[in-house]
Amino acid sequence: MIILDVLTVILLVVGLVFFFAGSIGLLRFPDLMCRVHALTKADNIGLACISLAVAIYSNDWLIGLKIIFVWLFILATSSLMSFIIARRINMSNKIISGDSR
Amino acid sequence: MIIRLIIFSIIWMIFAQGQLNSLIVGLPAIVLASVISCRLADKNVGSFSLVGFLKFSVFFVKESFKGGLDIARRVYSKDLDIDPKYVVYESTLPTRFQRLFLSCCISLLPGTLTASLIGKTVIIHSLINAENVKQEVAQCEQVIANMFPAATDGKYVEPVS
Repeated sequence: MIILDVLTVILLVVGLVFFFAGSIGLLRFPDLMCRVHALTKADNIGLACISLAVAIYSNDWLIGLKIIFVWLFILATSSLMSFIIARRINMSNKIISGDSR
Repeated sequence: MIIRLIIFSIIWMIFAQGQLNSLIVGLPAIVLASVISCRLADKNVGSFSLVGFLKFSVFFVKESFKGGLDIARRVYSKDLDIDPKYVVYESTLPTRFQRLFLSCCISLLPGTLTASLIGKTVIIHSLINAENVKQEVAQCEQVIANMFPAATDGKYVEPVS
């Protein structure tokens, strides 16, 4: 039991480190496109670690499976959303620079 | 349609933790999701390989982890270590659905983000070396192609922007 608790805490801390990386990336990266890189990728792995931590902590396979499913759904939607946001940024940049292609 | 109904029902029951009274909301949601899914499905996808899907899942989870680690390393490094540029990639995938699928997957690969998809041309915003980007995307493309082994080149529809 103690081993599982320790594993939960380690995964939570690692998850927070990645979420923090996403937030720092928002501040440090030079433009919108780079910031989308930081947010989607770092937050995704952060969420994976936290989901796994909660799944282990719940001590119930059905809740654990549910949380893993939630993570997989967010993984799928986050890849789609980052594409949509990046496409919109790209289109806005073209409009601002007068490129009508 | 029946397969979709079964899949969505299983997903709902996992989310509802097996509570049957949740089907008051769940049943209409399952039917609606199945109908929408059937309507939006690309008819040219052809056959679907379960082994290919499993291989893709392993590849996608592994690469998205690598992507997260890569971005965290860059964020925490002193000089950021980024070289942002656009890379143009010509996809060999036959259907629009597969190219859209590829575009979404690219966004979670290490150092890449799809900026646009015009026909078979994928415009990628990259934080890393262009040659590495093309290699990675080609690898991802191959995994997706294996998932839909008998896809045909259907009528191409220009994306609405």
